[in-house]
Amino acid sequence: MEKYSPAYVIIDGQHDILRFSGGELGQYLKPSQGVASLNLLNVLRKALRPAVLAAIQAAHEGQRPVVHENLAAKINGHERLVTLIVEPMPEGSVGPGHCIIAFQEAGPHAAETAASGSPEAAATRNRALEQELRATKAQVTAMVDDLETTNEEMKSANEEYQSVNEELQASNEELETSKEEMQSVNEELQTINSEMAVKNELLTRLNSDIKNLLDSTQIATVFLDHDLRIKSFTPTATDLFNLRDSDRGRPLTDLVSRLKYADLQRDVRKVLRTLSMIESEVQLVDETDTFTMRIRPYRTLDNVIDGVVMTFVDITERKAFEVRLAEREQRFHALVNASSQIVWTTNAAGETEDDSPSWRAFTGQTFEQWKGFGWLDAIHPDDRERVNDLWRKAVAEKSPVSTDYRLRHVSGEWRWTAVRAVPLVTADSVSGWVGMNLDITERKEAERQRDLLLHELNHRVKNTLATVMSIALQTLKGAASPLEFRQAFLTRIVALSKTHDLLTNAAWRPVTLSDLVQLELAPYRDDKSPRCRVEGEDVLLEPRVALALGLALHELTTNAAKHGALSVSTGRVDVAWHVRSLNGTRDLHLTWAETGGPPVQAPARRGFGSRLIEEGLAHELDGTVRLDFDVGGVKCAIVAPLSPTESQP
Amino acid sequence: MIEAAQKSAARPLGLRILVVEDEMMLVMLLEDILMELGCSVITAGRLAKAIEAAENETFDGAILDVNVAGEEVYPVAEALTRRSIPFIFSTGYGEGTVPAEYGDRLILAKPYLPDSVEQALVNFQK
Repeated sequence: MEKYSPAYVIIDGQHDILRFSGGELGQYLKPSQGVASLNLLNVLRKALRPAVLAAIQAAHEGQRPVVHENLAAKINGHERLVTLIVEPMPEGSVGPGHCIIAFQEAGPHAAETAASGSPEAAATRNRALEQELRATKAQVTAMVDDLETTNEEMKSANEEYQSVNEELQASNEELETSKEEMQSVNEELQTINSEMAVKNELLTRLNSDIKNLLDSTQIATVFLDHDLRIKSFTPTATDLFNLRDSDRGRPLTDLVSRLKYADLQRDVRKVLRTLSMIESEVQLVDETDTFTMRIRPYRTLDNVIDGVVMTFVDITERKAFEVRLAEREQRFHALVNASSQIVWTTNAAGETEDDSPSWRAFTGQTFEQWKGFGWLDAIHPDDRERVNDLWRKAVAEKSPVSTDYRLRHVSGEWRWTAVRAVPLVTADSVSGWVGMNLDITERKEAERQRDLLLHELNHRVKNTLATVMSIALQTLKGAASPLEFRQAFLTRIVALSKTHDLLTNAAWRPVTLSDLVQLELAPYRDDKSPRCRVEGEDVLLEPRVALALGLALHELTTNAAKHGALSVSTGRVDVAWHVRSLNGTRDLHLTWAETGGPPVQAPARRGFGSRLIEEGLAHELDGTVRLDFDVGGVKCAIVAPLSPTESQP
Repeated sequence: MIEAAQKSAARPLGLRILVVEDEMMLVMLLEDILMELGCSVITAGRLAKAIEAAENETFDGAILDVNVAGEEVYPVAEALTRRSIPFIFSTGYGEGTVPAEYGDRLILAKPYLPDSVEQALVNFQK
C-alpha cells in the first residue's frame, strides 16, 4: 500500500508535524541546521519550502485541496518533477488549521527528458515547463501577499512603537523636571539646614551671653512659672533665698527667704494677674542690706506670659550714700543761707545755666535776665568791661579769679561785692565754675572812712604843727628870756594838748562848752572856797571852735593866775554863758569876769594873749570879742554865732 | 626870724595880700610873716567873707587855704581868676587835692616857713 500511496505529512495550524508517512517521504525532507524542530518548514528541503507554504495558505483560504503538478525540485542531485497535494482536514475531526501534505514523484525533469529529443517529448516538456511556471507564479504571488501583509504588520507595529516612544519621551521629560524640582528642593533644604545651624549657634551664644550677663550683674534674679515654681535663678539669688541647684522646680513657698517681705507671694500673684510691674524696697530680716525689688511678668518673645521675673538690686551703699549726700546738701544749703552770700555756678564756658536764687534775690534780676552772660547787666557800667575781661581770661586759663565790683542791688543802689570763682575740675577737665559774691559795701565804706580819716589826720597834724610853729614864734616875740619862753611855750602846748585830749575822748565830735571851761579852770577850783564859778546851759562846740576857745581860755586863765584874780586867794572868776536866738541864728554869749584880784594895769604892749583873744578868736569864731582891762578885774565878752551842729545836746 | 626881718627890710615887697584862712594861729603867723616882708594883710576866716573880699577889695595877691571852716575855697579862686589877681593855695592835705584847672598854681604846704611864703609872693610882683 505504502508502495503506491504518496508520501505525506499531517501538520497543525502552526505547521508542526503531527504525523509522518513512511515510504519515499525522506527524500523530500532535509532539516535545517540548528535546534531540532518538527515544524514542516524547517524540515522540508529548501527548494520545496516556498511552494509548500504557498499551497498551504491557498488551501486554508479556499478550504479546498490544492494540487501543484510538475513542481521542479532538485532531489539528491537530480532535477525531478513532483506533484504536491495539500488538503485541509475537516474541522470537526481534528484541530483547526490541520492539513495533509502529500508528495508524488512525476518523473525526471523535462530538461533531462528532452535529451531524448523527440517532438513528443519536447511537447511534454513544454507542458511541464508551463506548469512549473504557473506554479512558480502562484508561489511568487503568495510570497508577495505574504510580504505585504508582513509589511503592513510591520508598519502598524512601527507606528505603535513610535507612539510608545513618544510617550516614553514625555515621561522622560516629566522625570527630568521632577528631578530638577527635587534638586532645588534639596538645595533649599540644605540652605535651611545651614541657616538653622547658624541660628542654633547664635542661640547657644545668646544663651551663654545671658548666663554670663546674669552672673556678672550681681543682680539676684529668680524666674518663676505660673505656679510659683522656680524655673531658674542667678548665683546671687542663692544668698537671698538659700537656693540650691536642686531647688529648680520647687515652689517658692517651700523656701526660706532672708527677706523681710511677707507679701512676696501675694505680689507675685498680683503681677501674674495684672501683668504690671511691682517695684518696692525690701530689707533683709536683720535690716543690714536694702534691695530694690522688681517683679515683672515674664514675656516670651511671642508675647506670651510665662511666669514672672524677680530681681533684687543691692542698694545698701547707694542708700547710705544718698543719706550722706542729703546731709551734705542740707549742710551746704544751711551754710549758703547763713552766710547771706551770693552763690552761683556756670558751665565750663563761663555761661550761667543753673538758677541762683541768691543772685536773683540780691539783684532783682529774673532767671531769664541773669542767664548766659546776662548777669553782666547787673554790674556797674564802670566795672563791667573789666569784670568781663577778667572773667573770660579766667575761663580761658581755667584759673581761679577774685575781684571787687559794684552790683546793682534790688533796692536800686550800687553795692560793692567781692567775688571769688573757682573752676570745678574733674579728671583734668573743667566741668564748670562755682562762685560767691560777698557784700562788702560796709567794708568798702569803712575803708573809705579810714582813708578819709587818714587824710583828715594828716591835715590836722599839719595844722597842729603849723599852730605849734605859730605859738612858738608868737611866744618867742614876747619872751624876755629863754626861761620865760620855755615856761610860756610849754604851758601853751600843754593847754593845746589838753583840749586835744578832750576832743579825742569825744572822738573828735562836738564837746560841751562846760567841759572845756572846767578843763582850764580845774587847777584853781576849790570846793571849800569857790574861786571859780562856771554857769551856763549845755552848748556843744565844734572841735575847731573848741581848740580856739581852749587856747583863749588858757590865755585868760594864765593871765589871771599870774596877774589877776587867781593870783590871790580872795579873787574869783565868773564864767557865764547863754545862747540867744535871733532871726533864725543862734549866738553864744560868754563872759569872763574877774573880781577881788589886785588892781589891773593895762599892759604896755599888747602881748600874744591879747592878740589871740581879740583878733584870733574873733576871726576863728567869726564873732566879736571884747577884752577890757578894768581896774577891778579883767573882763572878756565873746559873742559868736553857733553853727547848726553846735546845738544843745 | 630875725634874719627874715632883715631881708625884708632890705627888700620890702610892699604888697597887699588877702589871706583866706580859718585857723586863728595860722592867720596870726601869716600876718607876722607878711608884715615882716613889708606887706599889708586882709584876712577872711569864712568863705562868704572871702568871696566878698575877692570881688570887692583891692589887693595884689592871695593865699587861699583850701578848706575854709569846712567849705572849699574854689569860688574865691574863680573870682580871683576873673579879676586876674594872682593867688596860691595853702593846705595841709598835701598835693593832689586841688582840681586840675588849678594844677599849675603854687601850693604852700603847711606848716610853712617864712622863706617859702616870700618865694611865693615874689611871683606876685611880676
